[in-house]
Parts: sequence; structure tokens; C-alpha cells
Amino acid sequence: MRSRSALHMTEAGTRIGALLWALCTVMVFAVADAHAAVLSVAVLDDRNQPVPDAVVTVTPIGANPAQAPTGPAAVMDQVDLAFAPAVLVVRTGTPVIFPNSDTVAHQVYSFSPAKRFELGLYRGHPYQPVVFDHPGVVILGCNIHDNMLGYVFVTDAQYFGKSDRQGIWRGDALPEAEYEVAVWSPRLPGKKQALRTRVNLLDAPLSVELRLNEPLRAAISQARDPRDRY
Amino acid sequence: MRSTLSVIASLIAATAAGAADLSSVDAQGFVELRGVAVDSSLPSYVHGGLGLLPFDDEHDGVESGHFVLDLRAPLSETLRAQFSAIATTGDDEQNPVDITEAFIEWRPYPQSQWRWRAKLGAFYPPISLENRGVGWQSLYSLSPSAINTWVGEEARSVGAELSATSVGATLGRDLDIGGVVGVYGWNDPIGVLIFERGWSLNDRVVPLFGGTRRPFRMSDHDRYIEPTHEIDDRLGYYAGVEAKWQGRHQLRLLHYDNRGDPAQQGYADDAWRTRFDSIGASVSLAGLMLIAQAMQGDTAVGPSTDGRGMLIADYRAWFLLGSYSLDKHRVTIRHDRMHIESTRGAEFFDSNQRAQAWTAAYLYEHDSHWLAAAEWLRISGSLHQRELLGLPAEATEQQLQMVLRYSF
Repeated sequence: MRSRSALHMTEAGTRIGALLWALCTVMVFAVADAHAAVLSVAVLDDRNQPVPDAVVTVTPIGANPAQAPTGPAAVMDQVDLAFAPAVLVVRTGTPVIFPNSDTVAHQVYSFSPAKRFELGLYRGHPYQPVVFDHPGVVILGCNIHDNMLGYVFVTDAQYFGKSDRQGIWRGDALPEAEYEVAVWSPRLPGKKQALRTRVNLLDAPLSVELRLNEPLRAAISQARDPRDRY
Repeated sequence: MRSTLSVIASLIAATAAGAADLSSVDAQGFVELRGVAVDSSLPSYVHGGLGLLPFDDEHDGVESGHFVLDLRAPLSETLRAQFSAIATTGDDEQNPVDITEAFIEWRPYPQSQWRWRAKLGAFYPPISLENRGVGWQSLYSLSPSAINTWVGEEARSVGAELSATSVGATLGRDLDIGGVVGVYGWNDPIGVLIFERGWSLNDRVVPLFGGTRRPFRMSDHDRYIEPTHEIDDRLGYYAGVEAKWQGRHQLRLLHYDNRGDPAQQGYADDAWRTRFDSIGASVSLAGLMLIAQAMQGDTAVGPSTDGRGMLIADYRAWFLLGSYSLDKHRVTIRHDRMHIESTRGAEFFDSNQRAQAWTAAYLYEHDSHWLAAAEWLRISGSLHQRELLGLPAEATEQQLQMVLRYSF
């Protein structure tokens, strides 16, 4: 049996946040199937184009986030004078290794409130992993190569990931429950919070379509001419 | 004063060598071989003539080109030294091996949206949008535009620069905006080269202890125009703003004033008062790069009752550049316009140039080491100074260069 419903979400918070939220309409199309427990989230921009590299987090309503286990160490590499991946999602408490695959030295830093750290000039062997112990968005830079820009999204959520090239993230085998689904992209203008909505997975599975009804910033561009020395 | 400059450069080099762990030194550079064909009846300015190309009929064929070495050494966590040297043969240069840049840069870790940078030493002022490669070479062609050629020849800052940039990404915005201020000395003769010779297009940067052959000699000790002299003991400055959109599109404005006292005389050159405004914009769309720069200013020399100078010339230039890069290939087309006009003292020396140039370049980057390039350059127009030598003011000069470059 297939059913479809539409939810219009509002979010409390700052007045600015509420105003921006009013610009966004989040459409949730739920498709139920009695035999599988899969949540599929499609992230679309204001022109209905898929948004890749958007962060999707899924949290059971009422669950204690502290109970979510920390995953193994994650990797944020530096390749061709760019952070790779440009967006990394980790659970709170996860150690992240910052290798340097370039031949030139890098100097990684962040002054984001969620994690302030500096990795002095290095190449080859990475430093000890950096533990991201507070949820939030951590913006990465390289103090040598000003064009480099990366994001670590630190979350308490039990289930999370990034949308693929088609703008889709899929969570497999989720327990039947009510969840809060949040979507965040570094391309959201301003210091915009994650967009949130609730879904009920009791009638699993669900295909959720999140449409961001505001113009996104251009995709992250760390690219520069490899011969560029200045 | 040149000895003071020499001490500064040596100190920076010694500091870098002493403080830096050799394994942490980032060294890049290149050697190259050039094949040059010139179609011009004029001897090159490099050899004392008034041809505007760096080569001429008697100095073309196979040339060794440049040898460039660029060293960057960390002195501490946020302090680094940069040292660039160039070796060029066959161009009558006083020092076959010389320094082009030597400075210490402080790059503190950003603690907020503001990114601060400070430089101390000898470096190029932030004008060129083309010269971003090793040894300040252009990324898009072999010869930079007339404006940036002149920056490499005469606009040498030996002093301090402070810049601050508000980084938009930290606020979820697309716009970076910043300002820069420089205070410098040892740049009093700036202006004399374009006043006497006119605008040129070439990649022969003048190193700190180097010079360019003087077209019009007045005495035995002024064979070379040397840009890095302090004559009037007055500091110059520049101040500019820069905006960057989405990390790709750029707009840059700069005002430059060497605050020279035109009444002061030096050993070989006098102090010139040289001021200009510079504007540059670049747009990057996928593989296409569009750059436009313009510059307008004046230069003055000699004592006068009003203190403005006995000889004054106004100058301006602009260029448009389009460069398309696909995989290992890059094609660049550029058009330059140059203008100089004496506004005072033309009866003593009339500096007057109206010229234009077309540049077409093809660069093939085989890998990170090997680069092959071909460039055709055509400069045409009038340079009044040629008439002082009994030559026609009008001339059209063409140059074809083929370069094979090995980078390390």
C-alpha cells in the first residue's frame, strides 16, 4: 500500500532563523512498504536540482544521544591542495586523522566554537588524531593555502551521512520509530542551522524529499591552478 | 643606500638559512631553453636600443632563458622566509645571478573571520593578476602585460606590508573583502624606465641589484637604470582593497605613491615622484579565465619652483586577457594598450608613446615537470624618443618564442 503526505515545518530559534525557515518549504513524501525499513532522503535545491554533499542526520525522538557509540577514526585527507572530502560527517567524540597526501606542507586550523585546533606545518606523517568532542560545524582552513576550505560536521545523531551526486542519502534497516531528520549544507547562506523535520518510520520505509526553497551558495571551490604559487 | 639594501637581503637570507630546518624548506624552480625569432629593425632596449622587445635581430635564435629558484622556509610556526633568485644570461645584466624577492612573512593562525598577513623585506606590490607562478612568472603566457612587465621592472617594494581579509566562508558568505597597506623605501628611481624607453612587454624582471640598459646616457656612471635606490630618504606607500567572490572572481584596487622628492639628485639617477592608481579584475568560469587591468598615473623629476618636478609625464595602460585551459592545454589571447605623454618639460625631453600589443600563447603542461610553450607577440605604435636617435617613431615589432621548461 502506498500513501503520500505533505508536512510544512516551522522551526523555533532566532528571529532570523525563523524568517529564513519561512522561506523554506519542506515537502515530505512518505512511501510505505510493509516489508522493508529503509529511509531515503532526497535533498533538492530551490530549483529542484539535487544537492550533493549535504549532511543528513537522523535521530530517534526521545533517544539519549550520549548512548550513541563513537565510530572508528575518520580521515580528512589533503590532496592537490584541497581537503578531501570537502565535507566530513562524524559522530561526536570521533577521532579524525588529517593525512597530507601532497608533497607540500600544510598547516590545518579551525577557530570554530565546536573545535578550535591547529596542526603546525607538516607533510608526510600526520599528527595524532583530533577528537571532535562537541557537536556543531567545524570549518577547516590551511594557513599556507588560503583557498583550501573544508567542513567537519560533528553530530550526536545515531544515523547520519552525506547525500550522493543525485542528492540522495539512504539509511538501511532503521528500527521502527519516530525520527527527527535534519539536513545541512555548507552552501546554505549565512550561518544557517540545519533544517529539521519529523518522520514516522512506523510505516517504514519512507522516501523523504527535502526541498530547500532558498538559493544556495555556489558549490565549494578549493580549486586553483597547480602552478599558482602566490 | 644600495649597501643598506644588500645588508637587509643578506640578513633575511642568513636568518632563513640559520633558522630553517633544511628538510622543511620548500624549494621550487625551473630551467629552460628558448628558441626566439624576432621581426624588428630596432635594437632591443636590453642592448641599449629603443626596440620594445627583449630580443632583436642580433640577439635571437637559441637562448638559455631563465633559471629560477624559489625557496620558502618556515622560521617558526607562523613565520616563514621566502627567497627568490633568477639567473639570466645574454642580456647584458650586471649580475647574472641575482635576487628578485627576499622577505619574511608572518601568517598568524586566524582566530576570527579576519585573516592577517604581514611581510617585511623585498617583494612585489600586489598589482599583477597574471604573475602567480614560481619566480613571479605569468600563469597564462610567457610575456606578461605591459602593466605587469613594468611592475616587474621597476615597482620594487623594500619595506613592510600589512593585509587583513574578512573570509566570507567563515560567515557562510561568498564574499571575501580585505585591505592592504605597504610602506617602503629604495624605490626612488621608479618611473625613469618607462619615461625614457616607454612601456614594454617582456618577462625579464629586474632583480634587486640589477638594472636595465639606459637608452639615453648623460654620464659615464649611468649605464644602467637601477630601480632599487633610496635617494631622498622619504618613504613611499601603497594602499589597496580587494574583493573576492566565491573564491574565484576578484577585484583589486591599489593606489601607489613613492612620495619621491623630484628635486633630490642621486649618483646615477635622481629621485622620481611616481604615483598611480591600479585596478584589476578577474573572472574564472570553468576553464576560462578573463583578466582586465588598468593603470593610470604620473611621474616627475627635477627641481622646479612649485616642487612638482621639471619633467612630468602622464602614463596609462590597460589590457584584456582571455585564457582557456583544458586538461594539459592552455590558450591565451591578450590585447594591451599603452600611452605616455609629457605634460611638462617636453622641450627638454619629450616622452611620448602610443602603442598597442597583441599576444597569443599556447602552453602545454605535459606533467608537473615539463612545460612546452609558444608565444607570438606583436607591439606596434609610436615612440617619440626614437626620433631623437634619427629613427622613425612608428614601428611594428614581432617576436615568436618557443620554450621548453623543466620545473623541479
